[in-house]
Amino acid sequence: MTEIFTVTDLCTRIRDRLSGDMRLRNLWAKGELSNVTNHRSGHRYFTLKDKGAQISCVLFRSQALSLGFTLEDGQSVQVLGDVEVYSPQGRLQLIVQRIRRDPGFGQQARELEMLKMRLSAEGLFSQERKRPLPAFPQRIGIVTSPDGAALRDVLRMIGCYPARILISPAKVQGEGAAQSVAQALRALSGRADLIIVCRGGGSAEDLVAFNEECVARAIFESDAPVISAIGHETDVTIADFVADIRAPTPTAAAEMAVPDMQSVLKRVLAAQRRLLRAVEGRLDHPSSRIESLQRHLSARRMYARTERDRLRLQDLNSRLSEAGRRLVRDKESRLAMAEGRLEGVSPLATLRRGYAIALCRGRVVSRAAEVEAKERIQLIMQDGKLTALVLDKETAREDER
Amino acid sequence: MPLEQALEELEEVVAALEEGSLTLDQSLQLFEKGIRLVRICSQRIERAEQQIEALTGELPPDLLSR
Repeated sequence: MTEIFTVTDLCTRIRDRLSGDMRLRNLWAKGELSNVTNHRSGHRYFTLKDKGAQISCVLFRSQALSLGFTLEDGQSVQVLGDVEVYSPQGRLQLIVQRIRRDPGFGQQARELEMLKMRLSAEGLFSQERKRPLPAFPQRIGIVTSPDGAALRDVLRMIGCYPARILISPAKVQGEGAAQSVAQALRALSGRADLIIVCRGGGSAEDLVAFNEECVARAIFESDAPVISAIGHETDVTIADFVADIRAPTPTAAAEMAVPDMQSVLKRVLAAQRRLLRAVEGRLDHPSSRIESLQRHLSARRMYARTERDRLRLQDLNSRLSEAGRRLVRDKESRLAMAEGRLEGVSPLATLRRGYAIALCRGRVVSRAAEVEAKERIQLIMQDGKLTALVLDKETAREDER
Repeated sequence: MPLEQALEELEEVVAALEEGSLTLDQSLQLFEKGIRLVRICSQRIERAEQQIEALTGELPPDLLSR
């Protein structure tokens, strides 16, 4: 008859089998740490994994005390231990006696440090060479993967800002990525006022291209200021050190790159308001008014045109956010008020008070000397036009005026 | 004229007008210039001409419609 195991018997049998295998005792295994838990008992629990598999590990308190470094998720380590079956959970685990940092990882970290020191000594990170960003870039270069979310984030943030946007496609991870990024940067030489180099978040391994010397040099040699936005906010690469400014995210990079159109509109409206106010003051002096009738008329036409501007601004307004909308509405009422006041001193109002504008040969006449006797002139009144003949003329002598 | 230049010139015109040492004629002349610059600025903002192109290869289809 077939033997039927209890679960306990089954697990015991597996455990005996494993513990009898000397190859599964006192072995070294390497991988990446994840799910690191510092239990209050002093024991450490974690998972050791690589791309294809993972295994639970325990480091007991007595060994944990002599560890010498802090276990963190993502670290590459080598562990020494015994394979064991933990029966209560039917789970395979490694009882770890020792852990050391993966020497390959340490090697990489050392090389990176040395490259940093070398480039720093050469002045690639120097604050003095950081260039200011143009306030209104007209040509914006973007070095990134054309398929990545980072590019979409940047374009979304740039919004409708008027500029020529040049995407210089690059491979941002994997074999040849560093060379591809460097080449994409060089391709923008002489073509951009500002360059954004970006890629979205990823593992440390995904960002290595941005720690390579050729990328650092291409950024350094760029004729336009470079904003870098590589990975997440906490990731800092050599590219970030060389860039003229580092942004925490691609969206933030775009925000630094272009002015906020709403605040630009606000500046235009403020200037318009001050413009009207400044001229209003000048027009308040009646003595100078007659002499400048022609200018007044022209100024009047300018006002008619600003009315059309206002309609356009209104339309623009509806495309901006509510805050901007309030701003413009406020401005429009002020503009209307200013116009009302200007109306009072405009030539048309002057006509209503009984004055006339004299025109001769299509030009405003402000001096008797401008008209000859027997010449026809036109008089513009508030309700129409008179054609008159100059019968005689008498000009005041220079010293009497 | 680019937006940046128009905006800067506009602000210079306004400052000169506010300073008030000009003749009325000069003021009105500057005023006209200012109004023209306001128009240029608002046109630049309104039209917001943007052009997206790829230096190499094709622009991804989702960006063509922008």
